[in-house]
This record gives sequence, structure tokens and C-alpha cells, in this order.
Amino acid sequence: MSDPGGGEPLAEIDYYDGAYGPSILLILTGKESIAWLRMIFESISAAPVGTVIDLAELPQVRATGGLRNLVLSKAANEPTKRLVLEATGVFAWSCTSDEWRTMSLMLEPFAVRSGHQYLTSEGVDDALVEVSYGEDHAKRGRHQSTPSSPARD
Amino acid sequence: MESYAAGAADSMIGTADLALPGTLPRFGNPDHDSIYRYSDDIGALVGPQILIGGEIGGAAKGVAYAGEVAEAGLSAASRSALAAVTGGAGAAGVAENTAAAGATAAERALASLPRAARESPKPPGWNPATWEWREGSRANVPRSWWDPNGVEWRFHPEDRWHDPHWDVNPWEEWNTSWQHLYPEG
Repeated sequence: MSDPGGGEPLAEIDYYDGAYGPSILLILTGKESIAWLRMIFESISAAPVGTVIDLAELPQVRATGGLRNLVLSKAANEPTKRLVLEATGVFAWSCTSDEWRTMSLMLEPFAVRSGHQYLTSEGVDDALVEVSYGEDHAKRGRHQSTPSSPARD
Repeated sequence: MESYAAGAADSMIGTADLALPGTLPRFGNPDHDSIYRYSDDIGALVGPQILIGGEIGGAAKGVAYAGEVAEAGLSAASRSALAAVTGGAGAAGVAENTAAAGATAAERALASLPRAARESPKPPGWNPATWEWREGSRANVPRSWWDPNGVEWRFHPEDRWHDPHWDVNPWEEWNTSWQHLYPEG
């Protein structure tokens, strides 16, 4: 869902063919975005197993490409593959409580400096999730005209 | 790059990537088990090698087996190493470094690196004598450059969201974030 209020989103998200393979870029647009995303990770870490949050559907998120659903879920056990692209085109991202807590801690350095983190495993997961804060990105990414589609062939 | 190795009675025993360090499993030598191992990063002063091991005396028998390796698909480094083995350059099959004469220490160090490292872009300040090419920190990622201060460097080619740059991580903490470093100019 794209920012129904018309204000600045806390995060922009895009699915695209990245240099390291299929990629999901999550750009945090401000300081408050860091705390917001950490809160989401902490919340799902503390929630009962089976809890789901569709990140791309949150009003604070603006999806700039073809990505429509990025569903975070709380798993009981560590999955071998944490991010799966389902036949419906939905990305399902499953982690245990400890793993979601680790995701939150990965964002901690953004409190003191800009940078990016990779939250999924290249070559294992169906897309590489990169969270970026305070960095410059190629302008063509912001002005893309052809949205990508995560749907499988 | 795949090449074939043959055992006794011309029985094909499998394939191996001779362009990368690795070990071929023991195979059907009727008299001795042998292990063929190719490495191109054993030492800066030696260069690419095919080492043939086994029981004492097995190396000579190993020469004949090395002759069974199909040369057509070999890299230049592999051919160099193979030529040294089949040409009898040392009982242990140690290859000559074809570029050794007159080469600087840096050139020899560079020549000793795996092909992926030689072909990889080099970070600013890169020095083959002091930088390492080894496992990257991110699971299942090939290899990264590591400078003498423990900073990890990985080249990020252009894509929709990124101009070509270096992904750099000084790893001050377990969760230190990555930084973009754009080439000058």
C-alpha cells in the first residue's frame, strides 16, 4: 500500500534484478524510520508463532516497483530458507524469535551512521534483502518506468 | 572449467574443476591409491601446481594418469601445471612458474592468486603482498578482499539502484553496517 496520507513514507521498497541476483531494497527515509522498522522486528520477535505482518502493505511504506507483498512471519524453528517467493508472487519471510531480534540489532548501527545491511542470504534465499539508511542511490532506481514483477514464471 | 581424469584401464572416474583448488577423490589405480590435487595458490614463489600424492613411488605412476587429463578445456594455469607434470619436471610434479623470471614480488604474489581473485576488480590501495582473498563474511558469498586492517571489500557492479561501487565493512562490531565507496572519478 502506498502512503495513503500523501506524506513522506518511512520506507521505500523495491524488488529488482540486482547485481547480486534478485533483490529487495528497503530504503529507510529518516531517523524515525530506523526505530519504526526495529519496532516491527521486535514486535514480531515477541509475538506468538504464526504471527504475520505484510511490510509492503503498511501505510508507512511506499512500494516503488512491482513488489506488493512482503510478509514477515514468526516461525517456531529456523527455516533453511528464510525468504521464499511463493507462486502467488508473495514474498514470505520467516524467522524465529531470536532471528527477528537479530534483524533488529542489525539496524542498530544506523543510529550513529549511514550504511546498509543485508538481512537475507545471497544464493540461498529467493531474494537478497538490503536495508539502506542515509545512502545515495542511483537516480534511475527512483525513476524507473517499468515495474518489476516478483511473480514466478 | 571442467576436465576429466582417468584411472586404470581408461575408466573415467569423474570430473573436476582444475581451475580451482580442490581434491579429486581416490580412484582406480590398480596398484596404488592416488590423490590428484590442483592448486594455484600454494605459494607465491612456485605458482600453479598439480600435486600427485599417494604411496612412495606413486608419483611416477601418477604422471601417466595426468597424461589422461583432457587438455582442451584447461585454463592456461592448468596447462602450465599439467605440462610440468607430464614433462617430468620434478618427481613430485611441481610446476615451474612460467612468469617467475624477472617478475617483481608483487607480480609473483598476484600470479599465485586464484583466477577469480586475479580477475576481480582491485580495491583502492590494494597490494597483493598484504591483502587476502578469502571467504566473505556473508554466508554463501564467494570471496572478498580483506585488507591488512581486517576491512572487507566486495565489488558491487551496477544495477538499477546502484552505481558501481565497493561494499566496504570495517567489522568493528559483529553488526557493523556496510558502506558504499565509489571509485574516484
